[in-house]
Amino acid sequence: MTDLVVEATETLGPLSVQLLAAGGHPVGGRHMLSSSMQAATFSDVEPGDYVLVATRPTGEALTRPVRIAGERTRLALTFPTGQRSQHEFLTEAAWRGLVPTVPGNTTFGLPLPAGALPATGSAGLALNAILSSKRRFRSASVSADKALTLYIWPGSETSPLLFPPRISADYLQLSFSPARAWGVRAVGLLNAEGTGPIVMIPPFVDGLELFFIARGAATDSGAQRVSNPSAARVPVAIAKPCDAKLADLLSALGAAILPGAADLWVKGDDPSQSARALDYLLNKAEDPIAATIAGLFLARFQPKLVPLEWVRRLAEITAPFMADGTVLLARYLLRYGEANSAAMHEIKILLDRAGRTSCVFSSTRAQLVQARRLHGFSHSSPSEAGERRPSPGSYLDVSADAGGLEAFWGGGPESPGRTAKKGRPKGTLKLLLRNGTFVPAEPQVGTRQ
Amino acid sequence: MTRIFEQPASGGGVRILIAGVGSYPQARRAVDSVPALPDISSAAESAMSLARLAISSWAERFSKPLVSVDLLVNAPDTPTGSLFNHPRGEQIRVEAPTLTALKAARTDWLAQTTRDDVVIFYCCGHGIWLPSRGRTFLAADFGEDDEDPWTRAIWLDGFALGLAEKPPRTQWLIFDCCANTPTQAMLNLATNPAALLSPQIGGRGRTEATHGTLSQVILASATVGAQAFGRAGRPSRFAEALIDACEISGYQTEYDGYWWIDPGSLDKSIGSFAQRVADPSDEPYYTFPRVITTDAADPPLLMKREQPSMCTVMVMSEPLSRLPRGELVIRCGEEIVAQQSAGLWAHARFRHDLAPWRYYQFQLKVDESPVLVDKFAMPPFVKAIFPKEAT
Repeated sequence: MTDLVVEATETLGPLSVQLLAAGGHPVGGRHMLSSSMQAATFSDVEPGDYVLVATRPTGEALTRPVRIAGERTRLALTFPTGQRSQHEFLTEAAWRGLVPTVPGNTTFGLPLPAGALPATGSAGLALNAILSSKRRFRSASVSADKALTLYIWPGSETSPLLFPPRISADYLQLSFSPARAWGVRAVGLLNAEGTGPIVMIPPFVDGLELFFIARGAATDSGAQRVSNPSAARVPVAIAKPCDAKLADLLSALGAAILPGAADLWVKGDDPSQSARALDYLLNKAEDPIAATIAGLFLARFQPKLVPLEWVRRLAEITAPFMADGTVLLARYLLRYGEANSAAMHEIKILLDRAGRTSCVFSSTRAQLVQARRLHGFSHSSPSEAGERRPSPGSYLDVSADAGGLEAFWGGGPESPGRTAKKGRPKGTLKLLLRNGTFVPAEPQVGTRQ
Repeated sequence: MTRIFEQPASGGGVRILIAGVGSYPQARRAVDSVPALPDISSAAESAMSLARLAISSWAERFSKPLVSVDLLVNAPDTPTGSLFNHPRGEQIRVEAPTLTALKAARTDWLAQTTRDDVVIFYCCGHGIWLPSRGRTFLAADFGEDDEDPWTRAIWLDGFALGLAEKPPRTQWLIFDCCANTPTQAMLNLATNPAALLSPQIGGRGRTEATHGTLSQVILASATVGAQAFGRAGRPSRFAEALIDACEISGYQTEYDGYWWIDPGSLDKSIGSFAQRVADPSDEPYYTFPRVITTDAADPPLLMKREQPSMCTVMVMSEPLSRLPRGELVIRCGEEIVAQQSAGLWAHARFRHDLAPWRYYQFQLKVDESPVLVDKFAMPPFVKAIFPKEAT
């Protein structure tokens, strides 16, 4: 008998790993590798030939033959996309399986070949579903050059970006600096009419990499989901928090099915090495965004693990700048609250308040709309405070996909739909959309890769 | 009568409620805010097929003993109820799935259930996504009251929330209906569909405190905004793929000496049906956006059998025309398991069932030197593609 040690780097993200003997019989159970648990040991395995299957939250699976012999066998996992991307700045996103290693094309202005997808996983599948509709494909590809401008809300003298945006044919990369203050930003890639995809940017303590996808931005005809034959939300951007553990939780949160979800919050014999979503939640005052992601994750997969008081405190901390903590609290009260009129009243107040604040995570938006329906709020009516704000449901009608962040088509962070919003901040960058690819509007110096 | 199968069991069992609405006799024409609802024979066919399989070849496969099956069906030619051909040979008259009948069936379905029971709900018919409510399923008497039609619709999202507060801790909800919003439905401001089960504040917590953690799986044949389809005289396309998964292709996870269907294997099987099973010309029809999701940290198991599913391989080349021009050989070790000769009748997309969980070598010889591709046959489906030749 011998041991097999499987290792992965943190850049690969969450991987559910199984060792299969001949005939597909699992040996040694299922292990979850993640940024905080980068090795797993299959103990007391008979020497011989096996297959290792590593599955991502998207369902994408890697199989590797393993010959186990000697005292201990070590296997370092790499995915086929483990090589460096041809676009240097996309390498980490490629390792996580967010984008393919080899881009569809490398020259500005050339159309992408059929079948080449600028995204993989769920985003790639959704984009494929949308583009495979002939009507959508035509509207996305036959268009003439479209002028786009990148906006960042709120306007500021100091750029929140670590360095200037980088453009490739398929992607536009924005590297957000580590957040120094609690406040939500939004970025939009607006056309000449003043509308386009908007993505909410929470203040990540370690920063965030956001990649707008050219083909997603070009598929603006799919903005109204009810008119989109595939009904899929258009993936307009890919988000990768710089904190690998948070990136793990965010991608796992988006999984339709996540076997072994428990391992992502409690796995690890060494507490200093464990991701512990509960730890993030415990330290909510230090990092409310990490705590919110952890709270959303736990609320989905193990809600009873979380003390209600923690959620209440998180809601208090985050309420001034985002709705997510408030919605999380309302959801907990709905499930686990006391059955009395005071609880009912409190939930209604929370939902009304949440309707007047920005959501920064897409799962919150869906939860907010569903909870408001339960409490008799109309899908289309604005909040009860009588403000001239769009209803929470109207964001869903034009929602887009940005790797778990709130995203929609609109004229600004508070203007979902086809209506342009006056009073935009100064544009950060101008570029063109040509045949589903990004093209710099003016020569780029030192940013092209 | 709705109950077509009953067999007591101790320690929990599987209880199934199936509703297929193939006819909406009172909604044949559109009125102000309600769209016309044409007959859909595939809904009746789907419900009947699933019920028949559940009480025959699947009965011994469920994760727990099958305890009861309740069936409600109407069809275009039998709008008030249909005759169910029981595998024993007898015919049973089942009621039409009106709202009243559905409520009665729900009560029977959940009567005396415990935490150890597994409940399965399947509905097929017209569905509408209401902006003010979400996903709904229309009962057979929808349209009975033009002035207040939505009371004859079932609010599926609310139903799922309400069911989560019931004792059975393993729940499978399968919604085989459209989730789009016809223009007339969009005009409705205040709608009041029936939830069948009403969720309460704190209800989920109280049930979990008494009965334990919930494992609820939701399968839907259409994502929000999308439509579901079926062909006359056949089950819906989703039901066809679901039946294939439960009959043949979904047994991909080994546990306790058996091969099991779980939510992940269901997703893989249904998602690959278009390429594994359907005629190539039907691939667009069987390619549809679906929902299979669960919040369970340990997804539940649905059915089992002793043998794993086979793995269907689709062999192709770039360009497609290259494969029929060459000699294709598929080997497992030294053994040749399949081959195709070049020629006019050779397939450009060669499909073959392989014994699962093995490595195979695919060899294509067009000119002198053969091209080799290795693939691991992980059920239910893999593609082996010979890449474009370097120029």
